[in-house]
Amino acid sequence: MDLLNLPQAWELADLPFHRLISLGRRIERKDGQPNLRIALLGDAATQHYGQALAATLKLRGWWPEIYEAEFDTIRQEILNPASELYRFDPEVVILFTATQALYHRFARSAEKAAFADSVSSEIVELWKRVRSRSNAILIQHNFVVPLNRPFGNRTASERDTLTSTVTRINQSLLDAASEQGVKIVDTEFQASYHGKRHWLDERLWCQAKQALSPSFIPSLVKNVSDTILVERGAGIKCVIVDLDNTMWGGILAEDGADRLEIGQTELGLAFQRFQIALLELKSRGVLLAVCSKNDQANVTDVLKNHPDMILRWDDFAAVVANFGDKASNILAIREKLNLGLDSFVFLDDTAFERSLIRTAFPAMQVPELSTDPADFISDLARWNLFEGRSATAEDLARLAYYQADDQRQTIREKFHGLDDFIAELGMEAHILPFDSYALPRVLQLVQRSNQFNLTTIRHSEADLRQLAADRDVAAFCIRLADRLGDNGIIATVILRKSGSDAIVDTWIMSCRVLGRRVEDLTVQVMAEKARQLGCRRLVGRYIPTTKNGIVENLYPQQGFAAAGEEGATRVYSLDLGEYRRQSIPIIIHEPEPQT
Amino acid sequence: MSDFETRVQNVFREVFDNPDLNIYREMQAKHVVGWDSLNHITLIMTLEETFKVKFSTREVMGFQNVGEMMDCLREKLPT
Repeated sequence: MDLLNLPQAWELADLPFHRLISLGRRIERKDGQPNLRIALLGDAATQHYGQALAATLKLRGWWPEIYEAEFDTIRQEILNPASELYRFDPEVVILFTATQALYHRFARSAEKAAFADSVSSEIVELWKRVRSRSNAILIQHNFVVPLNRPFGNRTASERDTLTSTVTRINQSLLDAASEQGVKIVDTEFQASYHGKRHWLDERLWCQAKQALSPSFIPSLVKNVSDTILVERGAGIKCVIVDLDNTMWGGILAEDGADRLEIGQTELGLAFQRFQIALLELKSRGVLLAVCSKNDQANVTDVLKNHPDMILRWDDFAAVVANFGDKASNILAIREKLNLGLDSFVFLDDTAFERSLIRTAFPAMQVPELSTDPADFISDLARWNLFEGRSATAEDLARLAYYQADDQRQTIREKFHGLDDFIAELGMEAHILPFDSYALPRVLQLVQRSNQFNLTTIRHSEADLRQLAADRDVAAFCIRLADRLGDNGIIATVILRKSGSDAIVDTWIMSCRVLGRRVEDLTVQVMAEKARQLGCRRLVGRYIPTTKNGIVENLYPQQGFAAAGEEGATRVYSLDLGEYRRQSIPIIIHEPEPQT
Repeated sequence: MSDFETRVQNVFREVFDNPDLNIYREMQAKHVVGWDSLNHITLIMTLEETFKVKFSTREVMGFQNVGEMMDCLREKLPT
């Protein structure tokens, strides 16, 4: 089976139940896949749970063997030293206890005030018995606070209700768990997250003693697998975040620092709240790192000086901002932090970057970020990427250690699969005139782009319309799409005929698509348009500004020859008679010529 | 086969993990590999999610065959 089509750990929580089971069935045991013996004991039906947990662990690279005790035999299995449970010699013991099972016991109980204590001490006693005979990882589900409300809003404050009883049981279990080394799976949270009305499906309890609808079992057992695997050393230690449209709204290179959406606008508030969520992770010892296609100096400026940023320069263990490919940049981050690839999660709003990183580093978690930043926090909660112990002093010291180091990364290791990845993207470029559809975006590029902008001539809308109508001008823009989606208009060019020369008046490209050979394609289209104008030479100028250093050597890189200087401006030319088309993995679409 | 029946059949194919499964009105659990009480619940839940309907407690276990199940389901759909 193709490894890339298998879901990653974060995705498992979102799979439909039957899909999870069916994927699990297709996994074959690989050499060296570690075994894991799990005993599952429950006072609710455990078959769906057991199947789903097995599939989840297989998809996460383990080979589980599950012993499912008979329904509602938790006490017998644990108290009898000769039980199947102990014969099985489990490495993990799971106690799946359901709130529905408490319901009847509580109703019959004469001593309601003492019920919570009696249930929790009984459970703790069972833990001790397991502990006395086994060193297994012991996992206890807490109880879902039920929906019964005999006292309305006062229900929780009345001691004799099941609601307050369950709340107290959960608290006692938490208190005792750390003492006993027991791991609590927060079923109550899961039920709340997905909606208790749906989670506590009365029909399924009455029909089949199902504590929850199978629809939510993938999410629950994903959390169980997280709890188990953390004990086996797994866990995310670093979040690598993109900046533009991930940490803030807008594109720094195009919009400028003062136009970024952070905090002040509706969308900006969503990004700011996401930054707070990341700061919480940092406080518990998860490292944060930046990997952004941007200019390092601009990024440093925003991280140090933007008044609305929650996350600051000092919060990051590494900041890598350049226009190189992100796979190589991540290798640099990894080298600096000295962590395994499976210790990272990569958060980026751009489908291209996610797909590249997932292809390059299958062990790295690459969740599908929502297009709406307002979804980020609740998505992170569902993916449960950061299961883990509490931060040690050592964890927190680690950040200071990295900060003392130089922030600027040198790329030593290069990712070599980039060309293949780009070739398989199925890129298609549409060469478009400056028509009424394209004009607003062209204007935006012309007015705002600073970095990939060879001349920084700020034409007005009226200028652009005039240029579009001029027979001695070839003006076009490029819209790029690939199998991951539509990137919109990402480049714009204006050529003016001057005798037998075609002068490149404007050449702007979005930095987002750097390194995808769009530059090469643009030169090819320019050459063609120049010929159509009846020209024999392309003449390009690089007018340096404080911000466009990134394209300083673009013309020589594209095979143009130096043709002099006019003050600070450098002039280059390309003889069209000698220009050879390259093979570029982008399909070109051009509109029918207007007659 | 109507559009509706095709959608129901697709749910069966997914749940029983068999892309060639063909459903018919008289079909019962014993005719389908893997249709045990466990997968029955998965089937009912998947139908509920797919068609955005809810079966009653009695209905969840009460169907004699696929035809009855489809009739019950169709009645719940908005017309």
